[in-house]
Amino acid sequence: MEKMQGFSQRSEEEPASSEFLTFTLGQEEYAIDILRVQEIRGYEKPTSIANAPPFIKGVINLRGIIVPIVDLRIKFHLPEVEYTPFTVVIILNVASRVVGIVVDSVSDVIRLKPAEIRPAPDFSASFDTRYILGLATLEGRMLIVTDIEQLMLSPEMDLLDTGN
Amino acid sequence: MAKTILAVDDSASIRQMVSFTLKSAGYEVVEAVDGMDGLEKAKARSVNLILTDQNMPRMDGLTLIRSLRAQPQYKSIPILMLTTESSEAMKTQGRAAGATGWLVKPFDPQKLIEVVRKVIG
Amino acid sequence: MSIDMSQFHQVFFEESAEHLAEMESLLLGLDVAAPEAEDLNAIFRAAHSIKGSSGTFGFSDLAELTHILENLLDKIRKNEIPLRPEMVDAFLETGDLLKRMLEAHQGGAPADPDAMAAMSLRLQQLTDGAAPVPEPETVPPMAAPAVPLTVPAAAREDRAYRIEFIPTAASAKEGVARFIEDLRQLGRLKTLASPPADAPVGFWSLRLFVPVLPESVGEQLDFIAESDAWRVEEEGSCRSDGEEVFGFFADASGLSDDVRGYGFFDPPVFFDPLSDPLPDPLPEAASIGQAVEEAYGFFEPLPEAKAPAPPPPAPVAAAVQAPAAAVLPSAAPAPAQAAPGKPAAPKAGVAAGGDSSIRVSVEKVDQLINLVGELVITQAMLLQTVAQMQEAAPERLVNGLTQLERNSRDLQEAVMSIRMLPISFVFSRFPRVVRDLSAKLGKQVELKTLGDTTELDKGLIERIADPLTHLIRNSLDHGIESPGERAALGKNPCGTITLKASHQGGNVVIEVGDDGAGLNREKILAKARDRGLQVSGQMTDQEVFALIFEAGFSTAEQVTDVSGRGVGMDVVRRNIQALGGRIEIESMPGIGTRMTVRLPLTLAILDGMSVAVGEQTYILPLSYVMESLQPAPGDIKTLANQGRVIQVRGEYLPVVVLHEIFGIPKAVTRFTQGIMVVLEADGALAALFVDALVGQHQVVIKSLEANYRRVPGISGATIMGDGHVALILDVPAIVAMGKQQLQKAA
Repeated sequence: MEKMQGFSQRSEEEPASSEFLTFTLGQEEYAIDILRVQEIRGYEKPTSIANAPPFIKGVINLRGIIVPIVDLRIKFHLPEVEYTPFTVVIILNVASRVVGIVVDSVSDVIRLKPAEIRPAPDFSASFDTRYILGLATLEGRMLIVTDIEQLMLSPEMDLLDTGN
Repeated sequence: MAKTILAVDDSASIRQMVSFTLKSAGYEVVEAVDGMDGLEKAKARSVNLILTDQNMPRMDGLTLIRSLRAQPQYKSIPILMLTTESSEAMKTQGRAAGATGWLVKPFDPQKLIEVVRKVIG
Repeated sequence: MSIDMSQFHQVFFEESAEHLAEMESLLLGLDVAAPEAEDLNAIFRAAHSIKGSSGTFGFSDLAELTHILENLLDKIRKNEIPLRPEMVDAFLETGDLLKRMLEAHQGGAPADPDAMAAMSLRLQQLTDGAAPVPEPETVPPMAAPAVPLTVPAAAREDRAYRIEFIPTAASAKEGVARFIEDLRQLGRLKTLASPPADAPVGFWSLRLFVPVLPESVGEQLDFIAESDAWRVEEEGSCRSDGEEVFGFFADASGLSDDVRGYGFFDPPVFFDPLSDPLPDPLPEAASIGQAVEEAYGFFEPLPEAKAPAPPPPAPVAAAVQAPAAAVLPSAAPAPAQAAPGKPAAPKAGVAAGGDSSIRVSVEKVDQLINLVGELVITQAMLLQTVAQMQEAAPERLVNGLTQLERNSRDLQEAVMSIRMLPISFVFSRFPRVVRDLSAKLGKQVELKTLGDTTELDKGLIERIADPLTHLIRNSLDHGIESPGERAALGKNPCGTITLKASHQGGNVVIEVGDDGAGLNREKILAKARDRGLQVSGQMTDQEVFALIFEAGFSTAEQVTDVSGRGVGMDVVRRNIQALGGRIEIESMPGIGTRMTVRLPLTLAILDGMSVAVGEQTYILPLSYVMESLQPAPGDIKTLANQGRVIQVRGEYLPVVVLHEIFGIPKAVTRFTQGIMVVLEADGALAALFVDALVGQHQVVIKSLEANYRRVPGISGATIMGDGHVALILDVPAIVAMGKQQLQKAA
């Protein structure tokens, strides 16, 4: 709830809307802050990393830097995971790190006012509700507004060295 | 055409400051890292004023002044010594070497411009 | 116009740090009994330079302390005060304090004002309390016992008179000589300025210390110089230049130079406009008179006031003049020229580098390196594409690409070399470490360094300093015996630590050797057993010595205040390995110990061997690869159904199967169908089983941790010619896995 208060405060100061990128994972549609998105590219087979969790597909060469690729569909236990020419990778910039996420498809760039993001009920999303900022409705579809930065930095993504 | 000033100092920060200050005041500035470098740069092109430090490796300021004064084209170009030495002895030596004047470090940019304006306008 | 001075601060901090480092290394190299004039001058210049800039940029605390330091240094270099060892100590500590103060200004912890006050006081006491060097030339020839020898005493009773003159041509030689001789009879005489020995006439400036100046001096001057070409005046007892900021040398009427802080020289006092030929450096007297209207004057008319200065000579003329200019410094006053160690000459070569180098931020260089790395990859991709076209590729395209390959390789090498620095950047800190530590331990140690110019990557330089410091501390603490012990053993009481750097193939090898007690095999074994480490009496010396690098070997008991700092040798080894390096120990009881550190030349590029496993390609750093072989049936034996070994040249090596430890599918599983690569790391061997060898290439090392995390068994990544990522294997870790397997099995 603290997070929601933060949002309503911000809405008083800057009622302007911000842009979100939406993408689908299985039946669900997610929205993430577009400022975290560096680029969107097609899927290419990464170099796999020994003994990494299955959702970490490996690393790719993104213009000279080594970028890990996380398949969110595997991470969220979606039943069907295929790699087709239409499989999309969203390259994110989170906490000065570059990470790619594999999603089913990218749908839209939308504008949402803070007031349009409603608190999420305690429902069982594909992942921990801590990383959900709230829910929004767009043309009758429900969007799960996600704090993608916190999610990617969370221990369960296993993308960071933990302590040692 | 902008007047050109040769700034000779072994300290990069002082050089940077002098150069920046004088450029901001509309002068062209050529930098040299010591007396030897200053002499070479002075010979390679014409300058309207020379500002030189005294204590430098390879060639000190006094030697630079003497050497410049021995060049026909630098017989009458003003030369100011930028120096931490303000003692009479140093002034005497500077005068004997052929310096036009002195400016004691530390100095602030305004003072530098003031003095330079007095000399070359 | 207001100018933000803070924009120059960064350069000031950098250059001051450089000056402090130079000062320290010069101080450490000083022979206190007979210091080189050149070194003293350079130390003085460093302090002087910091003082000048710090004053200008408003760091008054730095300026104050360096002022006191500079004063003392000036007296020492002018031979007025003899150098003493405690002064060197004080100078070094002042340097440390200045370093801290600089850091404070850069946002670090504030420097302790008490420390600064204490240091100022200490330097001042050294300045005041020092017995001055007797100056034979300043002592009157007939010095009566009553005449005090020391300068301060003399200064109290005598007054200082400044005598300046330009003699007539007729009296330039004998007349002046006689006059000076007469002055010497009167009191202590100092020559402030004198014309060059070969000049017919010139400007003299003398300072005479006498209680009262006899009138005869004026009469004599009238005799040797025209009446307006000499001047005598009493110098103030205290310096009057406290407030001045700048000045033109001027015969100022009205406003005083000293208040205004600047001045112009005005010739009328000194230069007779009449007959005397003027010495060369002095400009013509034509301008006299016209400059006096302002509060300052000029020797020569300003450019606007007179005919414009002659245009600069054409380049050819400049070239012709060059030899003349080279001779010019001889026009300097004789004393400056005669002193052998003056600033001008000996270090010219070194200083000359200064004006042909530029400061560039490391990020820019790294960006360049990355871009060139990309270029090399793109070029490799093009080459591969063309190779696939085979006959269809136009010859000119193939030739062009071959040329491009050469060019990009040269470019890459050139760019990489920007990051290379001589190891002296690290070595230079160790004299101080050894000096301080040997004093603390009551040991006598001489540090020898060899191969100071050996170059290695800047990143390595920064990261090798700590491990090397630790090795040196360790040698000093545990290796070198006390002078008494050494003498009893018939050794030189003064021990030696040798630091040696060299290039060996693609590696930089740094040795830290001492002639101390050497490692004691039995003691190490006993200690290792105590600590619960796996040991056996059969272990080779090398293996036993390597135990000191095991985690948990150096424990609190061994960690002294000196070599300890809570860091064990295991950390040293880990740090060196993290740089892609390794460390070996050789030791002989009673003779000494030598630690050899091998590092790659650079952190950014590596000579690699690519190996295929399943669908994956991995890179093995070539420096670990001993050989590779195809196993014959029966070569591989199993130990207790767990570990596997292969016999290579009579030795059993543990076998590490890459596809097993990495869980790689579709790999070759039959040993006879794959390849064993024999690897050596940390003094141990292992055989790595892979599908096939692919090739050898230089690869640009990319960090895996920048965007991902550390992966066991992987040290980094690189981008292959086809644009794909290949992972670089962490060979020491793989060899260690082999060792563990065997230990488990045994």
